[in-house]
Amino acid sequence: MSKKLNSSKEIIVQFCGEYPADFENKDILSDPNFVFENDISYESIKLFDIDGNAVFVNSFLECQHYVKGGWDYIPSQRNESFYYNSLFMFSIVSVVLGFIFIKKYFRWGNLSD
Amino acid sequence: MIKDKQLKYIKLFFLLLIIIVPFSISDFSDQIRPEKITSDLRFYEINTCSISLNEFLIENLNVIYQDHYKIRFNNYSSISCFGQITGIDQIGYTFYISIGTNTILNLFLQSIFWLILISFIPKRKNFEFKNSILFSNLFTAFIVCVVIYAEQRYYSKVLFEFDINKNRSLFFLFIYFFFIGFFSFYVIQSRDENLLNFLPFTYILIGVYSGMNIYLLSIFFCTIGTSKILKNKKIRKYFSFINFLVFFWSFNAVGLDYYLKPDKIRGLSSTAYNFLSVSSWSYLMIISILGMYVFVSERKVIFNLNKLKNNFILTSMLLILLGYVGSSMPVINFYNYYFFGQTKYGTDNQDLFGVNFWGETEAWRGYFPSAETVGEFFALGLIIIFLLRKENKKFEKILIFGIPTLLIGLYASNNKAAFISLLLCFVLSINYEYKLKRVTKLFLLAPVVFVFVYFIRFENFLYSLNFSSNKMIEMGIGYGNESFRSSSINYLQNLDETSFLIKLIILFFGFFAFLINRSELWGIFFARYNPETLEALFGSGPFILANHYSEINILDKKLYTGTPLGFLLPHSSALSIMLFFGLIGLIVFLIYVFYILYKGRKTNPKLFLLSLFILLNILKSDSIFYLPSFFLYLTIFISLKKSKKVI
Repeated sequence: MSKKLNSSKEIIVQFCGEYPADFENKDILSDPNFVFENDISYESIKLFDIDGNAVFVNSFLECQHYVKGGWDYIPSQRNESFYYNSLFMFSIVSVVLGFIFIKKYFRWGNLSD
Repeated sequence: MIKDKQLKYIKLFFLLLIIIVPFSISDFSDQIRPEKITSDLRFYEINTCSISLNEFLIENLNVIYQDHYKIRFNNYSSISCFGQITGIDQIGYTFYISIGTNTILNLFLQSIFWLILISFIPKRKNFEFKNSILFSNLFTAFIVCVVIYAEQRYYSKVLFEFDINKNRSLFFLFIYFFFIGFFSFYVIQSRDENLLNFLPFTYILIGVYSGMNIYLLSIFFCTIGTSKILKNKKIRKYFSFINFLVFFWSFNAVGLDYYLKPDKIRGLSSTAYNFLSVSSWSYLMIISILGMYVFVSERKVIFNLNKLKNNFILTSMLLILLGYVGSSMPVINFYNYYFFGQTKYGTDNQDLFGVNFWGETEAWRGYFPSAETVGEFFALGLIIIFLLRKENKKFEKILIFGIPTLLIGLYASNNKAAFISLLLCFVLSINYEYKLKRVTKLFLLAPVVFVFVYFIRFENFLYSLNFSSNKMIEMGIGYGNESFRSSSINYLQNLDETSFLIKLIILFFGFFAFLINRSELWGIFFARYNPETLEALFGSGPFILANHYSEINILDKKLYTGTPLGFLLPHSSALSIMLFFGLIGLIVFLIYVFYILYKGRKTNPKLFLLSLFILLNILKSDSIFYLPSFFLYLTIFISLKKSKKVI
């Protein structure tokens, strides 16, 4: 299960590293033709979305942009979420089937019995 | 329809699957193959979560049987890492092999395994499922979730990527426990009326979830208890008093946040001491105990002593076999822990009859977490055999192996109190049967007294009364902290100011403690026991020890030897009851128990003797902290109470 951090800045630092000293934020959404430039001093990072899709980012700005856009899933967390969801579904289905089975083969009493 | 025999094979197949598959899954498509284990552990440090336990064992067969390997669980692991090696460490000559498991998955695997095992007991025909059970299941799941939420400090270390501060996670937990509660109720409650004859097997199938602080049976009994409260107006009336008590216990914990590592009493001890943990845990325990009471007392026949005897013998054999094999074979030790839900790994001491440096016999606990409790179990088995010796005209073959096994178990456990009380019960039983004359009675009691004096050692009677009766208080002062003494030690230190009667009772208690070698342990208890007046009267809540172990700092080393003190329990159920329910609770308990014994001594001498044996032993042991012994003892007392009707 993903761990929600207190603020989006903390999440960005967790995934992208500390903000560079000379970092300049740009309004990417207002420019539909924006192209991210590679930062050779920035070690590329692999990010994941909720479906497990991966993307490599090559600059802090690009990383920040993706993380803000929901690419903030850690694969192990995603896997665990999947397993816990599966166990949840398994429990629900088993109880429903068990309920039907017991009702069919045994006497079902009322609260007042 | 599937026939019974086929169904048994299907169940066996599933059991085998659960044992083998989870510890065999691995990514076989990768190029990582297990290597022979040596002191160069780089390979296993690099390739974590890549090799399954069974894959590793095939390459390293010696790990199965060489006792310098220890296979240990790492419950804080990803589900994808389940059953795989998460690391190997070497300390001295011992290798510690860590196997990844996941606490949530354990809940499912262990529940399914245990319920399939229980389902081998024949079904009864008149089972019916009531609507109230569904509501009780929901309530049980809710209360367990609250307990887990309140014990965050413990659970944060065992739940991997599962944030219990999130509502979503708590809802998941709720559904998981609803699933377990629903099926455990169906499987256990639909079994034969004679289910309680199988009670001794709970010493094998202990049923604590790996990584969790809860027994499977607690969930089941809580469901039954809740259902009873819903149905019975009288119990609901009594419950208003319980609500008041729970509020009092919880109120005492406001603003505090103590923690206790539960160690071998996991499952029957709250790990936290705060308002929420005390209130939720108290309700869980009280409703579960009520559930146990209802489960036992509502049966037409509680148990058949003859069948119980055979199951005692079989269980004893298994206890010694699994304990001994587990002590020498790391894999068996590992599987015992996981698949039978032990609270503590079985011993690695292979010497059943070992003696220490001073030539004293060392207690061998084998499979069970406590040597003392398992010693009581073996002695109980022997008493039942003795009591039933005339019932069967033919000699039973099972006794050829049964009696020596029980004797070996009792001797290995080195439980002298159990041995003496066993002899006492033999003499009392003969007295019941033959209505002995006073001289013969004394003649038979003489060896018991002789053995008692021998165990106590005659020289201990030669100390001055002042020394022996004050020893316990002295030890309490010695272990305590000069700057912050517990209120109980302060009280005991100033006994001269109290009334003569109280002084006499405490000094007698101290003298008794000295004789049975409990001066130090009970002294340590009082060094820690720090109640205020109302808490001394009403206690601090059922099976809650976190405040007791955290409130007062005492020496962490033994006074005379300087060895680490470790986690020492009170070693007296009477003291534990006083801690949980206060002096009033203890007095009510003792009066009620003596009343049951008094009433039952003529209606059913056999059950009376069993109950007497239990009472004598629990006064100096911690057996109530283990669900198998707690439930067995409770069942025997309830049987004695109902003895007119049932046996």
